[in-house]
Amino acid sequence: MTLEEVLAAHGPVVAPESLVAEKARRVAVAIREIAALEAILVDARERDGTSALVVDVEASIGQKPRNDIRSRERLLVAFDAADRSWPAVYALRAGFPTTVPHLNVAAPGLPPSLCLSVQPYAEVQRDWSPAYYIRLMRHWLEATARGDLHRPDQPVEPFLLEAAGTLIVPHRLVEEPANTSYRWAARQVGEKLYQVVPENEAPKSGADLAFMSQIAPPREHVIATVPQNIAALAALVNADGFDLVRSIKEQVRAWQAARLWNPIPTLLLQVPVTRTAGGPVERYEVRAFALAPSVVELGVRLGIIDRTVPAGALIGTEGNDGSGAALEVFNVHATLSRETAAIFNGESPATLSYVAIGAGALGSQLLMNLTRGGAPPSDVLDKDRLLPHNVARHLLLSDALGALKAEAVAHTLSSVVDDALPVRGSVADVLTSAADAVLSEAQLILDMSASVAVARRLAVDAPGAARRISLFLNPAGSDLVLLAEDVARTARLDHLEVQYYWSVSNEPALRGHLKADDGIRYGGGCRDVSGRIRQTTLAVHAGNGAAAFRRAASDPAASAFVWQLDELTGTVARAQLETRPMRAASVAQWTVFMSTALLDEVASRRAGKLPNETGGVLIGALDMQRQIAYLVGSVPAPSDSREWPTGYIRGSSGLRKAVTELCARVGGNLQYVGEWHSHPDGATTEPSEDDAIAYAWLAEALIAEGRPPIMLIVGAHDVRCIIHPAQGALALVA
Amino acid sequence: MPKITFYPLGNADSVLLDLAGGEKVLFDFGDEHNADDKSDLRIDLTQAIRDNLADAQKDLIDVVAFTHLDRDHICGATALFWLNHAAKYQGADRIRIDEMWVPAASIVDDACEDEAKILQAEARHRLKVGKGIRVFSRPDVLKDWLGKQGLTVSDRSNCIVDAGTLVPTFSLAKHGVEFFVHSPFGHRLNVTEVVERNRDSIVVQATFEVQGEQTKVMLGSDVKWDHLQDIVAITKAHGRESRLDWDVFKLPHHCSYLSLAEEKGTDKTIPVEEIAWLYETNGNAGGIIVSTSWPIPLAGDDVQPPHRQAANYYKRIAGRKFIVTMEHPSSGNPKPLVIMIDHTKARVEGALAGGVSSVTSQSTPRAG
Repeated sequence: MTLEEVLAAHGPVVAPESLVAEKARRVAVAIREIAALEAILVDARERDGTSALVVDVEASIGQKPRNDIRSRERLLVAFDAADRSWPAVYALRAGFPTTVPHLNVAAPGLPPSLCLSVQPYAEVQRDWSPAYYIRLMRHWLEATARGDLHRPDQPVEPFLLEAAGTLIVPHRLVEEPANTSYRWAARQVGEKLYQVVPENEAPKSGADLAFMSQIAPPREHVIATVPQNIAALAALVNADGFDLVRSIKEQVRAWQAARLWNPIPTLLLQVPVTRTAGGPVERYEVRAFALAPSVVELGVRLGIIDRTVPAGALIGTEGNDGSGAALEVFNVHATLSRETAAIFNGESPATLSYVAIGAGALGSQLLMNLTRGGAPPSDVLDKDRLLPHNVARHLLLSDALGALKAEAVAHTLSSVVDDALPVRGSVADVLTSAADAVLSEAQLILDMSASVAVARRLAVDAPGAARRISLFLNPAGSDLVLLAEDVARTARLDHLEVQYYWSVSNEPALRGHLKADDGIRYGGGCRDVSGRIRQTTLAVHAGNGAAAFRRAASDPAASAFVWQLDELTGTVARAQLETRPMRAASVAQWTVFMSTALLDEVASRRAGKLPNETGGVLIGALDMQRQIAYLVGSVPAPSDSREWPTGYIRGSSGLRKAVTELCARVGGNLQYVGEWHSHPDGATTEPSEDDAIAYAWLAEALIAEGRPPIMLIVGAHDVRCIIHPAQGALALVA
Repeated sequence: MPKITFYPLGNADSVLLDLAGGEKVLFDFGDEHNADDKSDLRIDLTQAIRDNLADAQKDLIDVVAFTHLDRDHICGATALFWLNHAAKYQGADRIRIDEMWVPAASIVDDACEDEAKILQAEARHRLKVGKGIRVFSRPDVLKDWLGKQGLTVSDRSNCIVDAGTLVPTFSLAKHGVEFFVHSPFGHRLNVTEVVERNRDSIVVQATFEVQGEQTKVMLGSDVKWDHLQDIVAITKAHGRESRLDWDVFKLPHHCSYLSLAEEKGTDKTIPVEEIAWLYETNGNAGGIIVSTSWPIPLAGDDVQPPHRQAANYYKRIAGRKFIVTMEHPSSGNPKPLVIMIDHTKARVEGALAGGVSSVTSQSTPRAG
C-alpha cells in the first residue's frame, strides 16, 4: 500500500472539530493550542467509526541514534470512534525501522504500527489527557532511538491484533533448535487456542491443525513484516539451500497420504537469530502461520491437488512458487520456563538444586512458592498419604485423597514450569537408610519434616556433604523457624537446634514460642502442625519461609531466625538466633558439645567471683541413642550458695522452680544435665577430694535416672568435663 | 546522564554542565535580566541556579569558570557567590564555589573595575592561599605577580593549567568528562620567542563519555576570528585534530561576525579557511551550534551581535542544528536550552521532558 493509499483508507480530510471520536478531537485541539506539546497537526480524517489524526511529533533524538528515528516523525493515529481500544499508531515515513521491538505485527501492507503500551485500555482512562498520548508516542520514539525501549528481561512477543489464532509453544523452541527427529503436533485447548506438544502427546484424531515445523537458516534481525503469502515468506527465510515452498509441498503430500484433508495446515517456523552475520545463535524467533483453511485448499493453491480429480490425485508440483497461497499468522506464546518463572518473580534465574523432605502443610505450600519462583526441588521425600484433615492446609486437593503426598506434590510442582526434568517424589523414609542414596547425591537438603528425629538423623547420621536447612513451625503455628547450616557444616543442624532452644528459654521476645495450645493432636512432636492453625497464617509462613530459604541458600554462612506472626495485626517480627559453632569434646563413649555462649558465661561468672569459687547448674539436651550431650546454658548460683577461695557449695533456694520453668518454656527440649563450679587462679582443673565427693553425689542421683552425670570444672585456662568414669579436658574459650 | 543547560540571558553567557556523578560545572554567570521590567524575557539566572542546586540538594558548585571578566560573563556573580577574600561576601544564603577557574589576565591585569575587580580579588586571594583555584595560563605569565607575593611558579604549579593539557580536576575514568585547554595560549614566533595570545579568555573542549560513546563540547568564550584561527592552527600543528572535534559548539561572542572573519558580508559572513574547516569539516553529524544571544534580527545592520550575516553562515552548514538561546523554544517565551548527553550523543531535550516534576524542581513565581 502506498502512503496515499494508507491515508485514503482512513477517509477524506475533515475539520478536526467534526471528528467523531472525542479523544481525537481533544488531541487535535490540544496540539493546536499548546505549543509545549511539540506536535503539529497535519490533517484529520474520518471513516467508518475511525477518526484519524496525522501528526508530526517532535522528539529528543541523539546525534547517533541506535535505531533510525528522526527528531520529527509523521504518525497516523487512528482512534476508535466508540473509544473501546488504544488508537492504532502508524509511522508514515518511508524507511521507518521495521525490525525494532514493540512494533505491532501490522496487517499486510500497512506501515509499521507502534505498540504504545501493554496497559489494558480501561486502566489508563483515569490518567488520560491529550498530553498523555503525545507523551507516549514521544516516549516510544525516544526510547527506540536510544535502543532501550525493550527491557532486557522482557520477552519478545510480537502481538498481532487480527490473528488466525494463538499458539502456545514449548519455550525450548525459543531457546534451542528443535531436535529434527522430534516431531511436534498441536492440540486444541480453547477457541482458536492451540498448544504445540510432542507428537506422542497429541490427540490421535479430531485435531484441527495439521502441523509441520521447520528450522530456517540463521538471520540477523527479527521478522517484523507480515508476509502475505507463502512465496513472500519463503523469500524472507530461504537461504543456503533451504527451500520452504518445496518443504511445504512435500508435507502436503504426506498429509495427503495420511488422509488428512480438512485440518488447518500449520507451519511452525524456528528462525535462529544472530547478532552478527555468521555469529552464534542468540535465540530462536518462533513464528507460526496458517497456510490455508484446509490441507486440500493448500494443495489446490500450491497447484498440487486438482479438485476435479478424485481426492488424492497429485498433479505437477513445479512452477508454483506459493504466491497464490495467502497466509494467516498465529500469535505465539512460549510456555513458562524455570528461568522465566524466576525472572517474573524478580528472582535470580540461577539454578538452585535441593532435595526437600516433608510435603505436609508447610512443606507442600512452601515448595509451591519456590517452584513458581523458578526454584523447584529435584526430589520431594514424604512417606505419608493425603488424608481429609490435610486438605484444610495443603497444596493438594481432595481429588488426591489417599495419594502419596510425595508423588502427588511432585506431580503438581512439575506442572508449574515446562521443565525437561520433572520433580521426583519418593516415599523413602529418611529415618532409615532408604533415602540415603537421594541424600548423598543432594547439593542442598531442605528439611520440613516437622520431626526432631528426622532433623537429628540428617544432622548426625545421614550421608552426604550437602548443607542442611530446616524450616518448621512452633506448636501454636504462630512462628516460623529457620535453622541453616553453613556450607562447611561447622554449625551443624543439631547444634543450631539446641542453641535455638536456649534462646527460646532466655529471650523475652520468644516467651510462649514453644507453648502449645490445645490442639487436635495427630502426632506427638512439638513441631506437629495438626493443631488449630489458620491456613492464612500458614500461607504467611510458607511465603516467608520460601524467601528465607532462598536467602539462606545464597549465603554460605550459617543462619537461624524465628519469625513471629501477630495474628491480631498481621505483623511479623524476626528474631535472630545464635549460630556460633559449638566446642566438642569426646569423654568416654560420649561426645559433649558446649556452646560458645555457655563457655563465655561460666568464664565470666568465675572471673566475677574471684578469688572465690562459684558455680551453678548446667542446662542442655541429651541424645541417649547417640550418646551426645549438648550443653547450652546454666542457671547461676542460687542465693543460698556459699563461696570461698577454696570451695563452693551450690545452694538450692528457688533452683528447682527456676529449672522447671526454664524447661517448660522450651517444651521439655532442654533439661538439667549436671553441675559446674570454678577453680581459682593458680589451681588446676583436676578434681579435688571435695570434688570427688560432690561428683559421687551427682552420679548417684543421675545414674539412677539412666542419665550421664556431667560435671564441668572451670579454671583460668581450661574447662574440664567429667563424665563418670572417664575424664577429659577442654580448652577454655576466653 | 550528563546534561548541559544554556540559559536565555540576552547577549550574556552562562552554561551549566551537570556531570554524571552529580558534580556541577558552571561556565560564566551573566545575569543581566531586569527584575523591574515585566517584559524582560531573560531568565532570572540567580534564581535558576538557586533552584538547580536546591533540586539537587547541594549548597555548592563544584566549579565556576569565569572565561573572562567582561560584564556579560560575570554580572551578578558577586551578589550570589560566597567569596573567601572578604567577609562582606559571606552571607548564609550565598553559594560556595569549590574551585574557581580564571584566565591569566584576571590575576595579572590591573584594569579591572566593579564586579570584575571583586572577582579578581577573589582569584588573587585563592591563588595566594594556593587552594580552590585553577588559573588558565602559561606559567611564565604569572611569574612576576607570584614573585610579588613571595611565591614562585613551582609553589603554585598545581593551580596553573597550561594550554594543550587537560584540567586535572576531572577525568574520563572517574567523572565521565575531561576538559582540554585551548586558550589562553602562547604563540611561538621563533625558536626562542613565545608571544602571549588571548590571555584574557578561556576556551576549552569538554569530552563526555557515556557507555563508551564520546560527545564533545566546545566552549568558545568570546574569542575573535584571529584567535580562533590560531587555536585551530596550533592544535592541528600538534596533530590534535580530535581536540577540535565537536558535537555541541557554544559560539563565541553571541553570534558576532567578528568570530568568523574581519568582513561581515552583506547577507552572509564568509569565515576564514581554518574556521570554515572547524565548523563544516570537523564537527560531527547532527552537531548543535548554540548562539547565546538575543534573537537573530531579520534585517538591518546592527553594530551589536547577534549578526544576521553570521547566523546565516551557521544556519546553512549542512547537518548541523543552529539554536539561539533567546529563540528557544520560541522568541516569545524563551526557556533554558537543555542538551542531554547519552550513548546516542547529544540531543535537545523537549519542552515536556520534565513533566509535572519540572514544577516542583523550581521556585514558584511570587504570589500576591
